[in-house]
Amino acid sequence: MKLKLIDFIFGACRIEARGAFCERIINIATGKNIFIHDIVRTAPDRIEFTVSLKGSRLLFSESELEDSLHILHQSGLPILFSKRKARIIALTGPLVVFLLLFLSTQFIWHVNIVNATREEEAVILKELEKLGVKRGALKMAIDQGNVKNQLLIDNPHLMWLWVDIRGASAIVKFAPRAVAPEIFNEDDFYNVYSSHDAVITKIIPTNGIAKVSVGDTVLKGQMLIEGVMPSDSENEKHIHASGEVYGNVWEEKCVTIPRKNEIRTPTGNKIEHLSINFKKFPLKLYINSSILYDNYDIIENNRTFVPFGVTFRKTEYHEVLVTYEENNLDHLQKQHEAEFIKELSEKGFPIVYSESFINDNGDSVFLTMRALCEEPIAKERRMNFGENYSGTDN
Amino acid sequence: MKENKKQKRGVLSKAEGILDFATGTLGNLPNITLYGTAALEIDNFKSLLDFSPDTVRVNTSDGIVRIDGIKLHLAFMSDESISVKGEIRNLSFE
Repeated sequence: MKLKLIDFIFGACRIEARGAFCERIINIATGKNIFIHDIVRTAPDRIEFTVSLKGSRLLFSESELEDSLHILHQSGLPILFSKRKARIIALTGPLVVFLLLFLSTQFIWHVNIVNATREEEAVILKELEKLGVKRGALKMAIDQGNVKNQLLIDNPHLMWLWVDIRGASAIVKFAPRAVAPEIFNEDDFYNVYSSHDAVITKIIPTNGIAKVSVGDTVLKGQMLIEGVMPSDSENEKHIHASGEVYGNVWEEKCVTIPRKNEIRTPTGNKIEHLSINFKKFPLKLYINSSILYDNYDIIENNRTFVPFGVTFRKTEYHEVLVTYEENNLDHLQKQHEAEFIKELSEKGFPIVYSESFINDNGDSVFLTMRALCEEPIAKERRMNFGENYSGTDN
Repeated sequence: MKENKKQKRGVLSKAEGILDFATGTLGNLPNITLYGTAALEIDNFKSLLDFSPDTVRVNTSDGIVRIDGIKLHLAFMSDESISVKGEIRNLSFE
């Protein structure tokens, strides 16, 4: 049984020795350390025996034995493979492909974070990588519940998160924690403070005592309406101050405008560099890596074959002719001013006055635009009984 | 030559007796194992002289071993041992 199994795995050859002294052939074979088994005499001048494929090759290499030996049949896996190579390849080829596909789907090849900004995506990807959710990670090794819980613990700014593994992708959905708005309790004691440095244009206290009047200049954080009501008794009566306060606030925006504008004109010359990246191992398919152009634009084109983690990278270097054109500063200034005014108008602030200044800064000019807008500046804040009411608070 | 061999074997058999070793341990004597009448194994043989379904003759350092029987065949044969299978009727030394 053991011999039959070995014969099947490594291949065996049934040989017939013909001649007057067949025993001599067997003695020569054993003398060459060839293991022979199942030796049977079939005729007075014939002996059949089995040897391994390697043994048969050794036997047939002996020129004196070559004529007396005849192969009856060969068997075993090596023979099966060599005889039915085409069929086996046709059968095993798709099997291997399916197996590879199956194996490739057992890994994560893409981590998709849904509805995230670049910053959020970078943070979450880093956190996920710490927990083992990354490209090339084995799906079975990922405990989705644990990843979800750990991420929520480590990132208090996340309110809700879900890691869903579909095929070879890890889809991460999350909701950032919204800052809870301050709850104004009508029964609590509040003062009204200024949210900006401003000149008061209108003040309508609906509750409490106005501490400033129209025309006053106030600083940011200064109390505008105090939540106190005069009382006959010695103790003041605290209330929830409220009211509308408007003031003229300066809004400012600074822009740098270059004096010259760079114009890049492609000459049509280009150099292409191809490379293949196996995960983190780059394989360059070009010899000369130096770029002879003085000025060039780089266009990178990556194509990744996800199941195998192979990235084909094509980098194109386009030669460009760089020329400079004088910018029309007046035109650009007017354009920026119009944009600034439009931004303020969209916020709904009436513009009382606007101005702009230009400072020379060598190759560029520094444009400062200012506008005086009438804005609501009242901001309610819970009363702190330890504070100085008449002072400012930032 | 034969005298030298006999002397050498005599020395080795004495050494085996002193050291309390099994006979043939130190020498290159053929070791014949018989498994009932169904199989026989000979270690330290020299060559196969004759092989037929009735008779197998094997040359050893101690002489020729002749095995007679019915439907005899060799199960395996290597440079050290030979295994004979079949219905063994007689074992003799020539």
